[in-house]
Amino acid sequence: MVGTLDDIRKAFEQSDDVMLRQIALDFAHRAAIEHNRGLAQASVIAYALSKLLTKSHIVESPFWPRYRNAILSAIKDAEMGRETDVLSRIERTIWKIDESDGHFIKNVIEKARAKMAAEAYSTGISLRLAGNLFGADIHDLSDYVGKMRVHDEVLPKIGIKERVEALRRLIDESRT
Amino acid sequence: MRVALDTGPLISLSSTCLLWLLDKLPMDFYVPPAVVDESYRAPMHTKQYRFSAMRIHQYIVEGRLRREDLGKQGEALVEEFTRIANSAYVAHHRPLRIIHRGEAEAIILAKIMDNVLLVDERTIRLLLEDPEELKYLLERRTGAHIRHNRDMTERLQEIAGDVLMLRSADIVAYAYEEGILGPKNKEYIEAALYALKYAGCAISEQEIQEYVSKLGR
Repeated sequence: MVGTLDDIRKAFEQSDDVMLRQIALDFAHRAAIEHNRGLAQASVIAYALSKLLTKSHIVESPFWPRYRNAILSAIKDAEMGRETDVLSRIERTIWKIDESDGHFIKNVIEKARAKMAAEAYSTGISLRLAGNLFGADIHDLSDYVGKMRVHDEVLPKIGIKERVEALRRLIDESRT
Repeated sequence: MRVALDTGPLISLSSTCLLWLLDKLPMDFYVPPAVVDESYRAPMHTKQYRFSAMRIHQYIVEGRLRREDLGKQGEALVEEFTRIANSAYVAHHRPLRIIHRGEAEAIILAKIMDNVLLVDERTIRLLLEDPEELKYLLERRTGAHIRHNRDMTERLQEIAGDVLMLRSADIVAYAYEEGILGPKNKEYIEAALYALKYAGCAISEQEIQEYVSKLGR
């Protein structure tokens, strides 16, 4: 995970939310293929930080330099092997930001988990596996997935009409 | 007729206020332990989903949804199914984990019942109905070269290939055609299908449009 945090730290130091988002997506897809919880965690961190950077009321607040330093400090500690649960530490900082900000009920980390898990699901792994890998609630994940185009990418061999007809046949058979 | 139910359709039907359909359809619904945990126990701890969890719990308490353990033989089949599914595709010389044990529980419960599974997520359905398409999907999104081990997917077919997989959208369409759902007009069923799609059911816009266009007035 150390190498991946380096990419995140550099992008965050440069306040590059676009780069952070790209890193997040790349890590999410790789995490899905490799079933790698470290990469999954890194993708959640990267995405959460990218979202924070887009909130002007946060980055322009007088408290932002303190929070920014706390996040960078957590990442640097993780890179040096001094922090084993960097996501929790960053999450605590984001909770403090969310508390003082008060705009959203669901915090940035929870949304990042669901969003990155949805990206992982879009690669082809199962919904439950994606949720489990990223620590995302299955309800949040279903909600995110429903709003993505992921289910429009593959047309199933058997459509609604055929499934309904097959169901009807089975029901008729069970009645005889 | 006994139907096994995965978590996804419970979420989709509950969030679209269509859970009541389970009482009206000519089927008995069974859920494996993993689904009880996901649809009831876990969301009871979150304010947003607690009401949905309570409604589902009510269905379980009243026997309208029946919790069913898999037994020793069932558990052994779950282990086998999970192991094989997670060896069916290889990327970077390593087997690719693509399903969770929970999906295997749902499909094996369907086998124990009457070979019908209600499942909204896409992977388990593709794995059994179109494993080659699942391979292309895995490759497309990740850019990785994926090897499809056909012996494994054929073995999965032997275990559960005869299970009819339905989505919440399919049973709602059935309910519509049987006059159970409500007003018999195309706009109503179209709206219901879109609501389920946005709630997470793996149905495409094209499928919805094709189905609705074939309905009478």
